[in-house]
Formats: sequence, C-alpha cells, structure tokens
Amino acid sequence: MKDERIKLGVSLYSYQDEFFRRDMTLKDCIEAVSDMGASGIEILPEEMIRDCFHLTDAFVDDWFSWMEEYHTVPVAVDGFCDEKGLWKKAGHVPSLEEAVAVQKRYVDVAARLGCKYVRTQIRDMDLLRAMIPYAEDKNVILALEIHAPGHVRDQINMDWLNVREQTGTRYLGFIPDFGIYEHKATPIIMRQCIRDGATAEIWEEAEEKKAMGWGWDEMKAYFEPRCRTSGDMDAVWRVYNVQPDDPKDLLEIMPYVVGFHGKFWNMLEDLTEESVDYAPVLKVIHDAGFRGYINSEYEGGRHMQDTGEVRGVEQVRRHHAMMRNILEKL
Amino acid sequence: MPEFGNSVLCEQGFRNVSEEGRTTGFQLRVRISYYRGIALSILDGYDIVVDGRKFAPEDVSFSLDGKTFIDTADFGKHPEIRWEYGDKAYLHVKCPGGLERGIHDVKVTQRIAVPYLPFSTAFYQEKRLTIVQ
Repeated sequence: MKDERIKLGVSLYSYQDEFFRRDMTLKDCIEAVSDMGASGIEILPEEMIRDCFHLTDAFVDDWFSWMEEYHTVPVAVDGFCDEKGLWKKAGHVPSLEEAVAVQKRYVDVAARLGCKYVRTQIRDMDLLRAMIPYAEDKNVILALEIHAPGHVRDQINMDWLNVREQTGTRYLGFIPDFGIYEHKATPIIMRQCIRDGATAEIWEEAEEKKAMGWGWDEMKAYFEPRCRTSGDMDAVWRVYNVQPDDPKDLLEIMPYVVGFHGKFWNMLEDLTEESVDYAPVLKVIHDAGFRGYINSEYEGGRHMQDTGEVRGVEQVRRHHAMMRNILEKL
Repeated sequence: MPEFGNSVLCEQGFRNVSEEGRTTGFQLRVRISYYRGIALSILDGYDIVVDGRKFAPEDVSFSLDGKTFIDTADFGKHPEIRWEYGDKAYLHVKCPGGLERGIHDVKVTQRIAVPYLPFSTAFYQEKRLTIVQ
C-alpha cells in the first residue's frame, strides 16, 4: 500500500482538552489513535503521566501492554527547556551540569517508554554537545523542532548540523512542524485576538498590507497610530509573523528528519486545514522517501476554550482523513 | 488569554478561612492553566479580582496540600516542588472579614514564565462562584 510509506501517528497533546476535562484517560487517548488505524504515539510526559520523572515499573508495564493491545508504537517524547526557567527568579545561572541534569530526564523517560526520539528545545550548543554521549548511551535521538516563526534554513538548524558533523553522532535530528507552512494567520487565533479586544478591521488591513509585501518596520509605522485597542498590535504582529517556508528547503535536511509534527488549528468539513496547505508539503516529503511518522498536533483547541467544548478527537480524525486522501494519490 | 472553559477555577473549595476564630480571608482552588505539570519556580503569580476588587499579590499565598502555604512572591525559591498537571492547589487570599455568603464574580489570572517564550504568559478564567460559609 502506497500510504504505508509515510506513517501516521498522533501527539497526544492533541487530546489535551478531553484529557484535562477527564473525559479521557491516557489509555483512552492511545485507543483513539488506534481507532483511526494509526499507530504512532507521541506524548508530553509532564501532561499525561503522574510523577513522570520517576516512572514506576507498574506504569511502564501498563504502557507496553496498551501498545500491544492497541497495536500502537511509542515514537516520541516532548521535552522542554526548563533549565532556562527553573532558577531564573532566584537569579541563579545554571551550570552546564545542572542544565544537563534537567535535559537527561526527558531522555530517560523516552528510553523507558521505548520512544525513538525526544522533541527537545535545546538551543545552547554546549548543552547540546554535553547531551550527545547520554543520548547515544540510551539510544534516544535528540531532535530539534523547527517551529513557526522559524524556518528550515535558520541559523540554529545549521548550528545543530555543524555539531552533528563535528561529533559524527547519529543521535541528532530534526522535527519540522507543519506550522511553518501556514499561509495565513489562522482564523482560530485571530478570532481569539478579537475576543481579547482586537478589531476585525485591523486584522483585515494587516493581511492586505502583508500581502503587498510590507516589512515589519512599515507595518509598525503604519499600524501603531491606527491601533485603538491593546489587542490590535498583537493582531498585526500575528498576521505579520506568518511567513511560510519553502517546502523544498526540507530536502537539505531530510536525511536528519526523524519525524514531523502535523500541526493544525482547524480542520474544515471539506477536510482541508484552514491555514496550512498540506498537499505540496506531503508531496515533497513523500518524493524524498521519508518513511517516518507524521504525528498530528492539534493546537486550535487551546485558542477557543472560552467559546465552547473543544473536540480534539474529532479534529484529529479529520486531519488523518485529509492526510490519507493526499497520501493515497501520491 | 482565556483558558479552559470550566476546570481551572473550581467551584468546590471556594470558602472563607478563619484563624483563631476570626475570618481572615477566603480560599480558592485552582488547577494549572497550561498543558503540563511544572515546578513552582516557573510560576510568576496570580492576579485575583472578586466583584471588581483587586487583591494585592502579597496578600495571596499558595499551597499544594492545604497545609503548607508559601507567598506567591517566593515561587522562585521552589524549583524542587512539582505541581502535577490537573491537581487542585489552594490559593489563600487575605481579606479581613472574608466574603459574604452568596454569588461572586471571580477572575483569576495565572502568570507563568513559559521557558521557551521571552515573556510571561497570562491565562485567566472568570466564573460566578458561591460562598456558602
């Protein structure tokens, strides 16, 4: 089957509303992935596993029994960069050892849960170098997310590639996030800006000026005197910040891509995403022979929790239906 | 930004608190308005408004177990205390005499220093909650 070349999974982050409302347990979330015929499981341990940095044998047994029961595969753990925040207010600058200790926890969780890679937010090259031997020892790849408003060719990604080359390690990779291909500011977030006080006219005008190719300095000079509410400038900034990447740039890093975040905000009833055009990107990565996982990452819910019940499971189902539609034709 | 329609501010646990027979303030119970558990030192603080009355940050204290309270100004001193996602913490607010029995408009804004963002993020929730005692 053609669509078996690219594998589909879900970052359980997508089900955060159901999980937080206690409509679904972690096991229910895994079942929801399996129910679509998908297999990849990506998890934020700090969201869905109690005392996640001290995993019990009983939990790990449950985890693997769920994988077996639902024919799913542990793929990724999402880590953060808390070393930047843990001691900030106390005025303490963490030593390299302290930062390494914070980051090792994610590698440990990934190793115990059988995940192949950690989504990491490490942007300090000394910390990154210090983490490599540990990642190698635990057989877990450290992967940097390429997230909007960033782009594939950003310096930080080149820095990572340099470290990879200099050290000769195979344990550094990338996770491009489909949010970098957003072609307009998602209406889900813009409507939230409006509920927070921005005006619809400013939003529309910002889209017009950006389409005319205005730079940020021009945008700022024009809109600042025209903004009537505190939310207006935020809306202008959000519109301007959507600068879609060229999918072909992926070819430069494709050998090091360990997986994708299938970021989306709003799946429409015609099975298209409101602000990201998936087809051209899927074609590029399909043609390049990518065989890893695209894990859906639904983020629209976070921006509409004040308007009604968020349906993460349904949104992800539509997202998978869309990706299958596109992949089956490639 | 507004967050989580229902579950951050809890109906249960909204009550007056007394010390040595005198009502010294009131209590709220809250969950983390974010998508994961965090160390307390990542929290910046809480802004609490009841019926339009704003309470000063120094009048708000925080507890995970309802017994040991820390000043919200001291969050930075506790990187070792982890607040698990979904657990209900206690906020105590100094307010001599407490709040009257009945319905109150409560707005709680949680400020958090998300480590990958350059600014403090404020999530708020507004609810009408009832004081029974």
